[in-house]
Amino acid sequence: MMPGALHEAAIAAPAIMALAPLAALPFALIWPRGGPAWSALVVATLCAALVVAFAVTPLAPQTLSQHADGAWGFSPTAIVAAPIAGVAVALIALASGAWAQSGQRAPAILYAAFGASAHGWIGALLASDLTLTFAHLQTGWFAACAVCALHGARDRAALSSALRMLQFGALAAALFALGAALFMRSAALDPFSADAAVQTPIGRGGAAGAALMILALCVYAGAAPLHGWTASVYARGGRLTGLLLGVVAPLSALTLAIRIFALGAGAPDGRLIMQIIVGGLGVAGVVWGSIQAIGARDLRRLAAYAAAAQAGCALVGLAAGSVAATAAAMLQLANLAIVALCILGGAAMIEGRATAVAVEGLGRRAPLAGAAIAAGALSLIGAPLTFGFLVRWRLIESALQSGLWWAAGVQIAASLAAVLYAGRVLERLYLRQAQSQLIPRTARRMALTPALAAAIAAVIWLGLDADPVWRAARFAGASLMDGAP
Amino acid sequence: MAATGALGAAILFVFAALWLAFQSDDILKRLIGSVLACAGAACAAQIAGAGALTWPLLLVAASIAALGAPIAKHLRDAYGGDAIAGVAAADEADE
Repeated sequence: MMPGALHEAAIAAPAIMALAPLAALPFALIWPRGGPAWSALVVATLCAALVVAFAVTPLAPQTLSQHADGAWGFSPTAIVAAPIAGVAVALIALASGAWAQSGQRAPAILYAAFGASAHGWIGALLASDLTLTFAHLQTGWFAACAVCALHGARDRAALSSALRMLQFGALAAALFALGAALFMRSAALDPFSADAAVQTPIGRGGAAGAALMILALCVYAGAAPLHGWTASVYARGGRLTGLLLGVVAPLSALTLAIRIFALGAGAPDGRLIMQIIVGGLGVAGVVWGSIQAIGARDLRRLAAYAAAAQAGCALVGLAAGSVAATAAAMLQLANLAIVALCILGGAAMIEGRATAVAVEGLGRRAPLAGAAIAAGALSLIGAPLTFGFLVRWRLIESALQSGLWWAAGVQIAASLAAVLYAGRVLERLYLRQAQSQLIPRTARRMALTPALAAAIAAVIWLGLDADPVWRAARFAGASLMDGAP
Repeated sequence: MAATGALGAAILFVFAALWLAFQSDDILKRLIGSVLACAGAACAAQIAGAGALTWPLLLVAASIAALGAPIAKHLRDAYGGDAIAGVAAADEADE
């Protein structure tokens, strides 16, 4: 039996998780130096992560979703994604200290913007109505733009990346708002409200609105072919921006996309339209992302294209529209976040650009970074004993159960393509002579160690036993796709 | 019927502004296109009865203008009037 205090903490966890990253803001207003703001950010986000670990995780998914009231709460989809996002934000916040301690002092405003962005992405996952969700998405996106632009002080290319983010942000905001407007005009209710759980006829206009919202969320997630901003932002927008937008943003945006898919598919006319749109986007994403990843020469760009392909795998899996397919798609999102933390975290150890030459021999120069990138690469391929293997298995199994042979074929093709690009990374890490003898600075190694160690442990542990995550994902799938096979 | 027509016009306006935001050769026109797209979407939301989204969208438009103006100034200082071509060349060099 859970003690009362822990139970209370679990019930308050959504608010704690959403508000904790904002702790840096008051410190940034008082002190322009980064130290106090960073300390506040780290302490607050780590405390929130501890609440998740000790109070939320032991509870059954049903218990958490029963308390989904107020501004923030655990919806069925957030049960899987929110704890992962919260822990990832804490680890990235901790790692971000490396920049303050390595002679390149970061201003407090950088940590405040990072915290605001993290608040936006986590808040969007937990928000209880559409307007709050939209507001949080915009906070997450534009604060991330600010983080990217602040890196422009060191590298002008970050400014062009930030400009590109602004353009794509406008596209996504407009699409999301148009979609929401069409949906609400058709259904006359807020799609995220409790009433929306009751099957409501939304017609074709509502389904079109849901499709527009999913397109907008694909922009935020960097899912191909709407990923025009990702490569330049990951590669030149600064390590912090890359980690934030590579790990937390896709998890949050695509989890919302799953929720909206379920709403659209619940409509009498909506199911087929949603399946065609999501399946089409997914196939385009897998093909486009995989081809670009095979041609990429920079590790961070490769991570961006591989993430686009992996997001495509989640959408293809979702297209089956069954409970098992929805659960498998949610597992794929968790895998996407963990793989991004492995690869982008490992790349953050590299001084300067993460070119192919810089990666050569990294496994010997920086063993932990090498191991993290290798774990991420193996999980991308879907190698046995990694989380990626189990996720791929579930995706293929659910596609075959629904009779979608083409979807199973796309998942296998994505794995084969990953063998090409991720295999090349593994070869450069361990089988090539190092062209550069640069060893990561001690401060950077220490700051990144918790994030990398946790990411490697997650890839292996979830590869051996993913039952708790799978149970939560099954509950989410069953809640969303009520009546589906 | 009139509301449906107005909604259609607002949606067309949004897509025209997005075309400007992604196709223009001028960095300022791109920014203006982005701002107009959000403003148009705010109108569409209001017409469609999703008025709660109007103010957040107008705030988004203001954020794009506030964040984009100094970035555009820096890029124009660096690359001159041909900033878009300069940025594209820098990106190609990265590939």
